Amino acid sequence: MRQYDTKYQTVIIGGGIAGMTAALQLYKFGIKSLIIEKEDKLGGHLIKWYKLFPGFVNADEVVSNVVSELIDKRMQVITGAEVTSIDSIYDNYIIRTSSGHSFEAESVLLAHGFKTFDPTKKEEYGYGLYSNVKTSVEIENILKEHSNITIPKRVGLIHCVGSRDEKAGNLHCSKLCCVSAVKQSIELKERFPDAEIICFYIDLRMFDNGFEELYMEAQIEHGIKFIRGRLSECSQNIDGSLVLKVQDTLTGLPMNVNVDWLILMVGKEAAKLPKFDKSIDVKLAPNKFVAPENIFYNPNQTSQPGIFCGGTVSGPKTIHESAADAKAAAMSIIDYLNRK
Amino acid sequence: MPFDPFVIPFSVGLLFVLVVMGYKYVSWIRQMPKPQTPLKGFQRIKALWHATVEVFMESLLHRKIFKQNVMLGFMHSSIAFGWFLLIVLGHFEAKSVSDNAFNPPYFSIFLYFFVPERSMFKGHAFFSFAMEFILALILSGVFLAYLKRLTKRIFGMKRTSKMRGIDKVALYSLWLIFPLRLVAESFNAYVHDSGSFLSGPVGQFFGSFLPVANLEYSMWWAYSLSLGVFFIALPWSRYSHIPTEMVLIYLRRLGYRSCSKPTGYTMFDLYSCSRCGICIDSCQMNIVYRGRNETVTAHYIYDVRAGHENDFALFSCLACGRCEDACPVGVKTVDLRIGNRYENTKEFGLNHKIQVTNGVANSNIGYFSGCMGKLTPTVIDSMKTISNAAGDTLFHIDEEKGICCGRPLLLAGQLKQSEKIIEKNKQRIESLGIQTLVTSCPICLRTFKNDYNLNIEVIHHSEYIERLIANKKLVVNNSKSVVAYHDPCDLAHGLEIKQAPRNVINSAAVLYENPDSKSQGLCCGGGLAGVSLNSQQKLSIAFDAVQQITNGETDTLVTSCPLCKKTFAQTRMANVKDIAELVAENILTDGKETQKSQKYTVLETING
Amino acid sequence: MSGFGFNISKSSTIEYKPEDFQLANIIEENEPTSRLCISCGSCSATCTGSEFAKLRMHYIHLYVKRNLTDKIREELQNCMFCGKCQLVCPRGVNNRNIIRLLWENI
Repeated sequence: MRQYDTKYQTVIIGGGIAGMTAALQLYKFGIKSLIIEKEDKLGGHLIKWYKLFPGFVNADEVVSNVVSELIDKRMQVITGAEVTSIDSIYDNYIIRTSSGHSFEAESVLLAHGFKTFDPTKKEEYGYGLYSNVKTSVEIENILKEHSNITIPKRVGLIHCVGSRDEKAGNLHCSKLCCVSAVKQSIELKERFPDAEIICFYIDLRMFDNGFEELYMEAQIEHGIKFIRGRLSECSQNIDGSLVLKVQDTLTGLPMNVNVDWLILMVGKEAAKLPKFDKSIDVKLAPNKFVAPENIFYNPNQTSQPGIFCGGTVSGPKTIHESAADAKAAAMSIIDYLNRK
Repeated sequence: MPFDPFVIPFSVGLLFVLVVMGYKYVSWIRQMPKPQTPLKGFQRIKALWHATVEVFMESLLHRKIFKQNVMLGFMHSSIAFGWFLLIVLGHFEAKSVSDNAFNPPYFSIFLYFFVPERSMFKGHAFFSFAMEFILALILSGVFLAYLKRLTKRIFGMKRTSKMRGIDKVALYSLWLIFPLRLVAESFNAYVHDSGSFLSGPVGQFFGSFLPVANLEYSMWWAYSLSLGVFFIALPWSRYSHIPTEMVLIYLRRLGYRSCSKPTGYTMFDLYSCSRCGICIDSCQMNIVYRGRNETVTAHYIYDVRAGHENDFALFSCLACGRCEDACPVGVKTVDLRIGNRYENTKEFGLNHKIQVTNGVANSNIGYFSGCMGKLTPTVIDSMKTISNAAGDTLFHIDEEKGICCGRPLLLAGQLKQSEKIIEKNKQRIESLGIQTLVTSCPICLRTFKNDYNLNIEVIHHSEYIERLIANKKLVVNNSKSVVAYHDPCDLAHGLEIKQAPRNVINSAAVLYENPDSKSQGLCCGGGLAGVSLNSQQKLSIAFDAVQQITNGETDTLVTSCPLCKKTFAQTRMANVKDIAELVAENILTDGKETQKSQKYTVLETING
Repeated sequence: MSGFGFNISKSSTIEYKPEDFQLANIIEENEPTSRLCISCGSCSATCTGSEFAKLRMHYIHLYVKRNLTDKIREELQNCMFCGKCQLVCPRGVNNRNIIRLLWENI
């Protein structure tokens, strides 16, 4: 039975890229921290991804690099435990976990990430009804496991599933789905060279370094098709292939497209916050993500002094943005602890 | 013949109101079509009897209002029934003190003026006492009416209608009538040393400090004036409901009905609305408006009569029927609203290019999923699972292409345009040779039943499933999970189908119902009749409805309408399922649960 | 060299003078959610009427906003007013009310 200390300078909730990076940064400044991760392995969502945009780096590599450093430095980590409550006590916080532990911390870093939109809510897309409708998350797994599956002749990817959609309850743009779709199209085309891959988009948000270039690579080198239009309904043929009813907005004509696989680019939503006691006030933005104290001067401090946010808890971010944000969060924590 | 100039205001007023209302009624009746369900011979006599009883119970005793709130009921019935008794009893009293065979109407009203000495007549003591008792009853009601303007809560109403213009004139004169009668009769009692338990003491009281004898005549004038003013104001005020409601009750019993297209009958409905305001509390548009709810019937009818209706109010009504259910007079508010839309909108110039292809169904039972059905494929899938398990074949009429049932156009007041679609759809349905039409959409169901005149049986899918269970063609396992049920408006208010869905749910789960009557029969907010409502407004109604229906007892909400399902799913407050889905998940075949249609297992390990 | 030039046929250019676009102003004033449309096409994709004839709600928005008003009626007459366009719109544009207002004003 692993023994833990009872008091820490920082307790980090979430052992994904943000949590781990923050812990390592804090370590460099001599701050003792504990990572609490609810899954059995560290790495968060990263361990499900196959390759990362824009350079197709292996996700596993990124994870193992960070994890091995953590192990190297003998950092304290508790896995398989969920935070059940956070209560404030004088200037500090008491964190209780589902594993029966209770820790006292001078500061808390919320780094528990995001959750993906459940597309059964958009039932007209057929997720859960038809077996060939999958989410972008499931595709990563399929690409990673190299599982033995039937080869599709045509694949459709639908952008903005659960994002930018009042009817799905999320007005915000999830930022990463467009570039993920382009990335996955390329990967699918490389896996199934004879398949036709079509992306059905509204806009193509290629905002970061290398993204627009990736889009052009997809078009010219891999022949990925991009159709500006929305899917209205998906129905199934006897053989399991799908018929999509799509509006091609640029020609203004409705279109029927037969595909073998339909991939829904599911959006990112705020994950549930741990249960705080009544005196703790962590304000949320209208899109339900954690609201930073001030996005320009204090982007990692929440409205509750001593509780910080790093990574995607404050909004969708790419992996490298999460890591950078986590380091900034660590610096904010160091500043806070020094002033105490 | 007894006469005095002071009776002129009263007489003129009475004549005026009789002529004006009579003229209106005659012109409305002439614009009425024949009754939908005409009665013959003996049925007519029975109907007239029932109507008379209803007039007594509702127009006089206001029984329905009593059920709503006792104070409110007492207030209305004491004035209405009391006044009726005064007139009737007064008539008999007048007969007992007069030798003439016929007396003018004002005689019995102002009897104490014309025959101040009555002690020698038979039954005088009884009449005096009885009349004053009734007057006291009425005055208690009038007092409550004053009170209601100050504090509404003791009457169980959160909101009441506000008074303007001619309504104020009529109200104030009505409030003055009975106190003035008391004063006039008390002065008379003091002067002639007559009067019973009420006018006696009151007369003594006033006599002690006022020159009563000189004032008595002016009091009779005042009394007559207040009556006259009330009668003259009546046809243009909310009190036109008094005579109109009674005529309406007779017409209803004789088989006349309202419909969406305005007819003379519509006018009776319109003027029977007393703007009592009981409908206001039941209207869910209160959630959308911060201040005065302009959409609700009481306010809308007022605005229409005052000539300043507004577009948003006309087109935001969800036509859910809650106001209709709450109305103690039984005004058909939904038909009124649609009729108003019909009259106030330009006709759409629709010109659909639809070729109807006749076909033959492969089964006796046709299934129509409707426009909204395409957005809820789980319902269609569940219906297929259910019919397969029961050994039935459902012919899915609009599987490939389907046209709208036509009700959305109808609800917007486009009655003629909806007929264009109805004609085509009817052609298609009739060509199929089916004997039963099952639909999972209550909106389509209502219009198939009311507007299509189909020769076949038309049922809701919950009724179909109930039938399968009753015939043992389908066996459902009760999962014992707790669910709440939402009544779709078109199904519950429109077609009174409330029990079949509940029976079906009870076979598959445990049903929770919020016992508070105010939380029953709520609209989801997504109704197609609410054309001018934007999605945020609809969502606010949906949020409130989900909260009240589930009441924290369950997080699964079952409904039987695809539009309700989509509207509630948007709130993300509960797991929303259709009835067919609930049943399909729990079907037993040969004692085992069926394989559900293969659901893809989510590979993502982290779920929030 | 005066008078030299080309005669551009009117229909191939849009003269962008929104203050003169009467219909667009009426619609915007009475139904402000019409401003939210991004022509994503969800409405047209699900439209019942489009299964039988040309009807594209997102194009109708564009016709209104660019003052191509003579093109509106031809498509609008195929509408069945079923409300699916509004039910799927990701931005909450109140399409049905806009259709009703168009019929009042064209």
